[in-house]
Amino acid sequence: MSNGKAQHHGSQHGERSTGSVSAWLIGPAFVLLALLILFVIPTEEIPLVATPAVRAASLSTAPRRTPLGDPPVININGVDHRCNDCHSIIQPRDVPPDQLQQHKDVVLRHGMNNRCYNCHDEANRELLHTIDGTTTYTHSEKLCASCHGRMYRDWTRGAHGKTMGSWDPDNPAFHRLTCVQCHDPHSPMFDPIEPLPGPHTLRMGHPGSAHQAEVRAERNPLLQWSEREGTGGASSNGGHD
Amino acid sequence: MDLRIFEGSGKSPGEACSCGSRGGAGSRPGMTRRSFLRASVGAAGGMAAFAAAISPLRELEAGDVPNLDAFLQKHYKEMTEEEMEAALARIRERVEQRYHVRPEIRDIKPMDGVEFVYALNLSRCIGCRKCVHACVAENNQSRDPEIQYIRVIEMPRGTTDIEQGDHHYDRPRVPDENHYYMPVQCHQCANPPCTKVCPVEATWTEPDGITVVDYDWCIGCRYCEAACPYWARRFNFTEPRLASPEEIAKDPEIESKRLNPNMSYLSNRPRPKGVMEKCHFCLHRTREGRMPACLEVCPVGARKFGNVLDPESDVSNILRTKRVFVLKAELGTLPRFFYYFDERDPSAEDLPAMKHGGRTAPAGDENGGAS
Repeated sequence: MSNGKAQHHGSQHGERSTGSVSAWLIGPAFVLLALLILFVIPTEEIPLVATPAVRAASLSTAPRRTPLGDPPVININGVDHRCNDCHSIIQPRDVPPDQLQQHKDVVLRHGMNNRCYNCHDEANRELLHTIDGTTTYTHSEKLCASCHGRMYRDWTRGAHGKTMGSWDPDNPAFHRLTCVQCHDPHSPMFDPIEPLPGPHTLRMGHPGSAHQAEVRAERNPLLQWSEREGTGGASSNGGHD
Repeated sequence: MDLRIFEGSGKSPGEACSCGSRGGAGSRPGMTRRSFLRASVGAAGGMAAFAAAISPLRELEAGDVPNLDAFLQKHYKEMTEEEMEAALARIRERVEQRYHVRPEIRDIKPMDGVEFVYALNLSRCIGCRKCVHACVAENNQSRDPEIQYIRVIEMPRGTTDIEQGDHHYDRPRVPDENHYYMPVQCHQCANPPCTKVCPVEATWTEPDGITVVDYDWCIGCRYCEAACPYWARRFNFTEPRLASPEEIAKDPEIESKRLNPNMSYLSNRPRPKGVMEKCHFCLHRTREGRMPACLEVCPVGARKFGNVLDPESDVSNILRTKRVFVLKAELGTLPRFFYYFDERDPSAEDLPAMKHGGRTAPAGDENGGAS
């Protein structure tokens, strides 16, 4: 081995002058090739998936609900009414909600709390009936606190609910949304909603996803590209990133 | 042993190796097959690398070439006020040129005695992804291709193993009753791996706990992206694309792709191509006392934000009174992003009256209506 190697080196040394000439030829050839690639041969951009637009309304920061004020006013057939306009005359019995003659739009899904007078004050309908007295509609959280003590405690500390305006309690803009600005007091659980679109990064398609076929066909630009090219070589690109 | 194999060919050592002489003594002895292959492979590799390296020049537009001032711009921490003003003026001009919007850009410094912390209530999150898109709209991320800072992971109930999660979930309605939802974004670690690996110190942690990137100093090596255990960093493979007012006037559907003109140097100004970006707790809002965009849009109030140095802030209360945990605590990154659960009332689900509708609940009893 050492013998052959020495000889090989020897031959290189002897032919250096001619070797460097060919190297000079190779250099410009590849510069030409590089320029060819750069300016002549067209490159095709891998198509990007059009990102679905998100409606501005779905990103609203306004509270979910506008609660009743004090005194509460409801609109019936285009006319504003106060509670006592009717209830100073009418005193309905305490019936289960499905037997109501009025207020049929109220959907009452509040667990075992299914009687009007649990929360509404029977004597004055413009007040709410708490565990130890009455409260106004603008301080309805006192009513909620009658049963949901721990939630109320968390809300006063900022662990439940939503703080808006500022993170600084000393800032005048700092305010907490009240219970009824998010929850409907008659059916406080939130209904499921439609989610906004997921990530549309370049590589898409989750192996376990139920929508994998659609995802791969529609959203994976690499797959679109490879299918159009007829190579099919990117079939393994469905992996998660 | 190798020697034997060479010598076993039966040729003399001279014949075995002087390949170039095969064509006869008169042919070009300078180029052996080996030297030719070596030179051509090396040259081809070199040229390919060269072509790849200069190929971005093909996409270069006139406005992309930095002028001398921009080229000589210093690191964020080394700029004087005048130099910062000049840099902001350059950005203003460039944004106006590109998006036809005059931005309100400034450099906002951290507030004294403030350290920001985020808390997220996993009992509340429904996985609606509103935070993801509010963040994109606020922070001028590229829309095509899409860059998102927040990743909402749909997790099977009963595990915190991220490997079992899926962030591509696509359901007609959320939440799904068999899953819970875990949004992940930059955790603004107190011991961040990402800033340690940056070879040019283009990313660092500010005194208020926010890890920021100087987009004009970043060289795009993506070491930080590799170092981050939370997949919080994003790379601009292309020039970020947003819609100009003219395009929006033509097609109101793309209103959410509008450029947000309220920006700051370290946060949501439009990024150049080839740099990293990440969540910065909306510092152009939060350093002025406001809430981050992801928090304000949350429809269920799962997101909490505040100053952990203030003992009366929401997040201080949560850290004191709730069971909080951090993601991948074993890595020692010390995140400033905490997850927590609401404690459940164990009696609530067992109450038969809950399901069948009984009479009035005993006063003071906390029932299942809370959940």
